[in-house]
Amino acid sequence: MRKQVILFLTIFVFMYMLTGCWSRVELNDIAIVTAAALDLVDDQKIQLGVQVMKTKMTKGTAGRGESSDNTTLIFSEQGDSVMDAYRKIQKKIPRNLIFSHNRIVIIGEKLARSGITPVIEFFSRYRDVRGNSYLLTTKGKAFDLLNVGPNFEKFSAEEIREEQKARVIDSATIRDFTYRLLEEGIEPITSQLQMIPAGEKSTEDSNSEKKNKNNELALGLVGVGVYRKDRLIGWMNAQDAETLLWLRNKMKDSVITVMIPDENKLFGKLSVQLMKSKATIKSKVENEQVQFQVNIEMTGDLYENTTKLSTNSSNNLHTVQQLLEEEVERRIRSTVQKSKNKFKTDIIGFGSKLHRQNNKEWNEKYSDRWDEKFPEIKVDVTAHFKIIGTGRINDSLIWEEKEMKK
Amino acid sequence: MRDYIWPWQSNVMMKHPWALPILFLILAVILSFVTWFRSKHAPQGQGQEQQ
Amino acid sequence: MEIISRHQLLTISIIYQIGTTIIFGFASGAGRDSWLAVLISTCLGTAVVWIYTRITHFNPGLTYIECYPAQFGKLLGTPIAWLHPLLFLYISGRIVADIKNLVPTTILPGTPPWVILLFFMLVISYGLFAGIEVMGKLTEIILPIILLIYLIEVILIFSSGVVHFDNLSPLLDKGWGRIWEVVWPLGIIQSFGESLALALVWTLMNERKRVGRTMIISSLFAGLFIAFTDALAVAVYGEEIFKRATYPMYALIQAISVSDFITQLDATGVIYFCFMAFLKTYIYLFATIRSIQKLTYSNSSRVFIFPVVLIALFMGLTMAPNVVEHIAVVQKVIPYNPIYLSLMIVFPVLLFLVSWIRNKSGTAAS
Repeated sequence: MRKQVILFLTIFVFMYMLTGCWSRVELNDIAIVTAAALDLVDDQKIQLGVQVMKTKMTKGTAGRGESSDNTTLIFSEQGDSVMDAYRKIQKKIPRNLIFSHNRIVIIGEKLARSGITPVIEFFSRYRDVRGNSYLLTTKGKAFDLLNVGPNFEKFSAEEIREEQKARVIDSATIRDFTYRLLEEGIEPITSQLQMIPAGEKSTEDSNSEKKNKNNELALGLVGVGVYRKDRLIGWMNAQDAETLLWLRNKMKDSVITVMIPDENKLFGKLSVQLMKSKATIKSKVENEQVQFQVNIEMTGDLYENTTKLSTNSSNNLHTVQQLLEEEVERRIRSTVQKSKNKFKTDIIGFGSKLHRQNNKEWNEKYSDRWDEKFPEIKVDVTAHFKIIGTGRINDSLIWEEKEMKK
Repeated sequence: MRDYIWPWQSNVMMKHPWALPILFLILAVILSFVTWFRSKHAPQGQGQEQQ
Repeated sequence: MEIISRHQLLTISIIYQIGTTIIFGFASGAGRDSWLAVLISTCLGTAVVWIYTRITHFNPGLTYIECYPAQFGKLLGTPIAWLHPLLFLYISGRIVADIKNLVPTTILPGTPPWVILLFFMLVISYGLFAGIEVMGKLTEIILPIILLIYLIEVILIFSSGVVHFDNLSPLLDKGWGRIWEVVWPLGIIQSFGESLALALVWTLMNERKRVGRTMIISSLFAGLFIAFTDALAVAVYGEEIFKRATYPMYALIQAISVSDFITQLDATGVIYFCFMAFLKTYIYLFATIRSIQKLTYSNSSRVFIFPVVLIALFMGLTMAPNVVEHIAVVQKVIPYNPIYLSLMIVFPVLLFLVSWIRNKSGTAAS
């Protein structure tokens, strides 16, 4: 009898220990940060802007749709460091900020040019932060971008993340960025985010006139910010940035358009959607001259043809393939040239390939001086393209039309 | 000198790494006396395990 | 006396040897060649473990602790024997300090560490009262679960698309120097020298002859496990981040993110580690108590449980004020500390030689 009483008492006491933990935080006490924007303001201070989801625990009718306005709130504060600013924002909100669902971190240009290591430090050490938030840079102030309303998803951070995941342009998560920062022979990049009007495709940031009509603006990835170590040194446009994806084998799908001259001096265009692409880079060192051989193999489908070439004959397809190969090679060469001459920074990772394939020579000669040696490398590009399908029709409509006109 | 009372603590182990071994040796010798003492009065069935 | 079966010994020692190495890792200094360092340590370590098993083989019926007075004579052997429970007590204090640093940093930031450790030690005391048979049955059940969880984690990591195996090349980039620094003596001590505490469990196994084979299987398995995890961590994070991470294996779990749906599995990892640390502490304390029992010719070991647990708890709580010092002790002091080296390598080798010679001359004479 006594044993049972003791057992019962023990279970009773321990049940209380199982009900919850010491430092519990209830859901209605937290504010989920979905996007963070960091800027450098005048006197060495950092401005942190956070986009926080509005979650109200309303009783009664569930989820009266917040259709009119955004479901997010924007807060910002200035502080001496990221943590300092974070604490100051905390004073303004009745809830705990948590970063674990943070989707993106946007960095303003000034901060980017002066080195973003302080930012990455915070995001690498702090407890809740995941390494898979995307890093983005923008011309101008990052904080302005948080104000743009979402078009498809509930909040704009989610949209940007989906855009990054669609892999139209090379992107970097915080983990990727840190990896490339610390690894020898490759330099980091981030995607460049700007406000662009949803209507036309424009590669300039046009924000002043259209600011009042928020719903017509979209946040678009217009290029790539090139970093050396952790400082921004320049921007690369979208087309060149796409080839970065090809070279790193991160491409999901992509479109190439080639123009071929017609007899009557009319240019026709062919558009091909790339399905698969595989790039291999081989390095060779000969007499102090570092050479790289880039082989890229792609397969794609032809989806738009405005030339007179009939897509039915395989000879024509051969011609088209050759044209595409030349175009691909041209683009890759142009990107490599830009990276070599304009930026003088190895963002493609030639150095790290050399490291992996000829590590003796890397360690002896190049590992400290890759920055100087990089502009002198020679790169050879060969592309192979295979067109697999031509869409749902197998002959050109335009050709038919011309035939009928006769 | 107070450090020597806490030789397992990490700061002491870094400054005086020999403090812990010496403590162990001293304790070992002292405790051996305990063994010797107990072995005289202990029942002799403690020698071997089965098997 | 309690009896454990061969399979139970296998499961206990696998979990024990994977133990806390999976939390901190000892090979971070070797960068991307850490898996190679682990494999080499496994080979050497298995040989060391084999030496331990042979010692108990040559001294049938005696626990490892009793071999010292038996072979070296009471005057010399007894102090050496007494060094062992003291060492085990210290190591269990270190594991308690490991937990004290891991759990508040990762999942329970607000809870005072002494609360966490109090409950931890309460459960361990209960386990000690219950005896090792119970522990054997527990590990028999839990090891398949742990391996299953690990397998799921590995599959999820691969599905997250973060693995880049070319992070592992170039091999031996900075030469063999880094690897040897890590292998000797830290690599051998960390997982394999610590198997010494298991030596007090071996006499309780029902099939005495198979102890050697069981331990070799378990050491090889544990070593491969750790090497694979290390290689995976480098493949995901690259060399530099791996060297800088405080808890490399925990960071591995944080990298899991499958279709944005399966993410944030941190807590699973910490629970996993807690269990490993639990078993290791248990075995060390069990070894301590059993050694003391043997050396003081007591009848029951129960009277020692409480003081030993208290001392271990106290040592763990006061050992290191922060993680940095704690890890610094592991990296810098312990490899050169004469206690570890002598107890885990020098004395066993001597004991082995002496027992072997005596055994040979004994059988030759009879």
